[in-house]
Amino acid sequence: MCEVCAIFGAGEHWSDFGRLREERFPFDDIQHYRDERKRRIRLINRILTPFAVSCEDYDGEALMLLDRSGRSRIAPTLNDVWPAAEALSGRLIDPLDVSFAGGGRHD
Amino acid sequence: MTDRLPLFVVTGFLGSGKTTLVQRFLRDPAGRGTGVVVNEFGETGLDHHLMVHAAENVELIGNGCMCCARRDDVGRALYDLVRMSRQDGQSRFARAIIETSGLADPSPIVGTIARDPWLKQHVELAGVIAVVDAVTGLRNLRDFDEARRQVAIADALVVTKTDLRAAHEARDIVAAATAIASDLRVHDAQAPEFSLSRLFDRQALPTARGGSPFSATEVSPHGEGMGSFTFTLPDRIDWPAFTLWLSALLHRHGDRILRVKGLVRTSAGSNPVVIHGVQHSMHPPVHLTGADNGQPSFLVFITRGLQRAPIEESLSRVLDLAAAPEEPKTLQPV
Repeated sequence: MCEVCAIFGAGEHWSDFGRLREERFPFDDIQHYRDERKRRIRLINRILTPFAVSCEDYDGEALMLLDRSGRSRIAPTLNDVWPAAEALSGRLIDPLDVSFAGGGRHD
Repeated sequence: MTDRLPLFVVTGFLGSGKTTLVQRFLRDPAGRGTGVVVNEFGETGLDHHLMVHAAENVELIGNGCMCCARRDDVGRALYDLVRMSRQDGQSRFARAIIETSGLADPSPIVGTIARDPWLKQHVELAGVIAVVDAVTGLRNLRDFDEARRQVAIADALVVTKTDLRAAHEARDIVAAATAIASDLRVHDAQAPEFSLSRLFDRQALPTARGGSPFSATEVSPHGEGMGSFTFTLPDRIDWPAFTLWLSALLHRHGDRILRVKGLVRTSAGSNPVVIHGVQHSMHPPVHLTGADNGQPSFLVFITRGLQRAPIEESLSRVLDLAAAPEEPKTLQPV
């Protein structure tokens, strides 16, 4: 499976699709897949830190989101991350808000 | 991925000819094995010879099509349709059609499928078909937001009644419609080459054919009105960051993003990927194979009330954050 297809394992999220229906491309490089996955989780953590929510790999396929008191929610696919994070933090997460992903620039 | 029931949403004003179109398809051999959901029993005008009246709501019609007449919940109707289409462990139906009532905004149907985990697993939005008639269509598109929204959300446009004397030129209607949604597949229902099977074809994804990019006219939304804009993307986009951003955007604002389409060159693969979404629902991305004509990556948005600048800035922030070195300074909770 190319990286485009396989970012989050076999989940139903549209960004995990791309393989043809009848074929499964073999993994060329599982390490690359794992690295991409770690990178994505790192980005999610950066985005969710201001919401006091953290994100961990769960089972190599899904994600687990945690708040400060240890309450957790499983997010099986990327789509599930946002409602889960909102439930844990009690706040709406709006990417159009200027504070969303605000930590990147160092001017 | 198990086979999901392909669903076509047929939308259009009253008198647009959409019911006639659906009837035509049901009678055609290509329409065999179609389940139809009608929004309100008795209001669609489906030919009563095709329908056997219901004691309860589900009946077999004529050539094996099924009609499920529901008075209320679209989600419930779709659930019943799937359940019945899967009796005896097999798929009895090749596809489903839901015809929306005349002034209806088709977007709640899209939203219903996208938000319900069960429906998402069993139903695949195969296409939205907007039907516009050549006599009143041009005026409707100009005067009614509902008409524009139907076209904005559509994958294909069928122009009907082009043979009537009072009909406007088909090309004027096509121009008005493609100004809203630039890559609509357009069909003239009166043309000899019009093909119902091609219209109701699930492989109906937009592609940048032969190097001509989507070119949406820039229209800034006024208030909650519709707008469309295009922006080019950096040459190679970080796919994990991009999809993360887009999923967050559609989660929070999917109700106001009527369509998003784009050609994206990713950090992952060498060939570009076509993405295409309707509100909360994204189609699987399509890898473009073959010669890469070097076209820049871009995104087209058709929105209701969302401006371009905050969307562009939001993506920039996410891409910057993704590219930032390993340990940023500790972020204080806001």
